Amino acid sequence: MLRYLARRLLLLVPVILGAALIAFALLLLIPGDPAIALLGQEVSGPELARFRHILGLDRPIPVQFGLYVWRIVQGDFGRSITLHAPVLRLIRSTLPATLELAIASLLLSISVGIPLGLLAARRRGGVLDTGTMLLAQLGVSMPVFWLGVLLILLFAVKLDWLPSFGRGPALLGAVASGNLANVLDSLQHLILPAFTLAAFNLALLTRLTRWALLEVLEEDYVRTARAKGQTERAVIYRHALRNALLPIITIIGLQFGNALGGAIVTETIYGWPGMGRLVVQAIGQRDFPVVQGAVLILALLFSLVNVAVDLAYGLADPRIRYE
Amino acid sequence: MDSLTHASVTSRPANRPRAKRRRLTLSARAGASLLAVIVLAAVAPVLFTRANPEQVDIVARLAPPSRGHPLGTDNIGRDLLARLVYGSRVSLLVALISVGGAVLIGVTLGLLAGYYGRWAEAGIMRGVDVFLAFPAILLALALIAVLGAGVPSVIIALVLVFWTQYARVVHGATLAEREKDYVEAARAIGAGDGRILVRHILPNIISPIIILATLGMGTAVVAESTLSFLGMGVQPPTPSWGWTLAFGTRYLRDAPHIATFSGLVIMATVLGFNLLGDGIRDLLDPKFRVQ
Repeated sequence: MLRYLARRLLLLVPVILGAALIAFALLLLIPGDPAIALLGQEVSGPELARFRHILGLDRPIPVQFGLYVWRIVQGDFGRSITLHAPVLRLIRSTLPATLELAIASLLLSISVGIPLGLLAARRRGGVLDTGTMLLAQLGVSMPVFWLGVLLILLFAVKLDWLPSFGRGPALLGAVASGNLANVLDSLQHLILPAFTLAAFNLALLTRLTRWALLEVLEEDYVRTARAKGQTERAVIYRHALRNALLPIITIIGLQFGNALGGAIVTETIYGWPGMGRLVVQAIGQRDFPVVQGAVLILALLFSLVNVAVDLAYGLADPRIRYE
Repeated sequence: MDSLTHASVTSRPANRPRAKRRRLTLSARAGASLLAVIVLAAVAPVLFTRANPEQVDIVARLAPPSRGHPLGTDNIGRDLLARLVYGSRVSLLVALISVGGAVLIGVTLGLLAGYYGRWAEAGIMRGVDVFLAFPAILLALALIAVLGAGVPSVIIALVLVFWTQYARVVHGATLAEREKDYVEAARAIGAGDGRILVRHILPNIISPIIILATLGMGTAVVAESTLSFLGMGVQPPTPSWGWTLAFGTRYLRDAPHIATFSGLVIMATVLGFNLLGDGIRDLLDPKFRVQ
C-alpha cells in the first residue's frame, strides 16, 4: 500500500509539472508584455527592466519555465497586483473557506444522495422512484448559478429566513469554541451555498446509486443470499450496497474536484470569501499572479483527491490489491 | 417467377417473431421534442416573436409579462422573449462548435494514442492527465482571462476543456478494437493505418462518442451561460442566455421574471440534451438500459 502510494505520488510529478506549464503558458499567451501583466500598469522604465531581469523574462522561454518552477518549489507564487500581498498568503487565507464549502456540499450530497438512490432502487418503478428520478434529472440539468439565484429569491428575499451573502464564523472554530450562537450563525450562512453547490452532485449520486444497486441486485450472489432466507435489509446493506460502492466512490472523488470548481461560481453568487471568488475577482482585474497561483494550487488539490480516491477503492473492495 | 422469388426472400417465416425494433424511450423522445422547439427558435425566430431583440423601450423597462411582452421586458425595456429566442442562436452555436471541435481533437488524438501505443500513447495520455488536473470551469476562466472575453474565446476555452473526455474514451475503445480480427484482415488486404483507423475502427467505436457528444452539448450550454454569468462569456449587446440571467439577478426584487424565464430556458435545453443523450445511451448500450 505504501509503495503504491509512493508510486502514485511520484506519477503526480509530471502531471503537476504539466499543470505548471499551463499556468506558465497563460502568461505567454497574454497579448503584450508579461512583466506588465505581472506588475501592473503603474510600473515602467528601469524598474520594469530590473523586474524583467529578476524573473528571467529576458531569457529563453525554457529557462523562464525552469525559473518559474524553481520559485514555485520555494513557495514563491508572486505578489498580487491589486491586493498588494503575496499570492500564497491570499490563497492560504481563502482556501479554508473554500474547503469548508466544498466539504459541506460533499457531505450533503452523500448523506442525501445515497439514501435517496437506495430508496428509489428498492421501490423500483413506483411513484417514489419515478419522482426521485425526475427530480434528479432536473437537478443535473439545472445550471448551478440559476439554482443559487432561485434559492436567494425564495429563502433570503421572499421568506427572509437565511442570509444571502457572506460567511459566518469558521464552522470548525465555532464548534471547537462551543459557542452555540456562532455555530448557528455559521450554519445559517453555509446552508444556501452548500446546497447550491451540492445540488448537481446530489442528483448525480442519486441516479448513480440507484443504477449501481439495480445492477448488483441482478447478481448471482444476491440471489443466493435471498435463497438463504436473508432479509431484504441484510441483502441490500450487507451484500449489494458494498459491491455497488465502487462506482459510487469514483464519482464521490470526482465530485470533490467538481465542488472545488463549482465553488468558483457558488462563491461568486453568495459573496463567499473563498478561493473561487478570489480567482473570479483576479480574472476581472487581470491580476495574473493570483490567477496563475490559484490555477496551480487547485490543480494540485484536485490531483491529490484523485489519489485519495484510488486508495479508497481498497477499503471498499478487498479484492483490489495495491502493487 | 420473379415476384415469387422476391416474395420468398423478403417474407418472414410464419413461426419467427418479428425482430423487435429498437426505439428511443419516451423520455428521450420528450427530450428530442424539447430540443426541436429550441432549434426551431434558433433557425426561425420569427415563428416565435415579431419583436426586435435590440429594440430599447426605456419606459417599459422591467415590465412583467403582458400581452405586448409575453415574458416581460429586461432592464432597458427590451422584449425578453425576443432576447431569449435570438439568444438561442448564440448558445446553440457555441455549444455545437465547441463540442464539434472537442470531438475532432479528442477523437483524433484518442485514435492515435490507442492505435500506435508507445510514445504517441504516453505523450497524448499524459497530456490528457494534465488537462484533467484542472477543474473545468477554472481552466476555461483562466484561458478566457488571457484570450479576452467573447464568443471565439469561449469556444477555444470549451474545446480545450472538453477534448480530454473524448480522447480518454476513444483511447480505451481503440485499444480493445485494434486487437480484433477485422483489423488484422484489413491490414492483410493492404489497408493503410489511416484507412484502418477511419474506415474500420472509428465506425466500431462511434456509439460512446455520439452519447458523450449529445450529453456534452448540454454541458456546453451550461458552461457558456456560466461563463457569461461570470462576465467572461458572450459580451453584450449580443443576446445571450447567460448574460440575460446575469442581469436578471440584479433585479431579483423588482423583476424576478427575467432570472426565472432565462434560467428556465437554459434548463429546458440542458434537460433536452440530457434526456436525448440518456435515451441514445440506452438504445446503443443495453448495459445502461434503465431497469
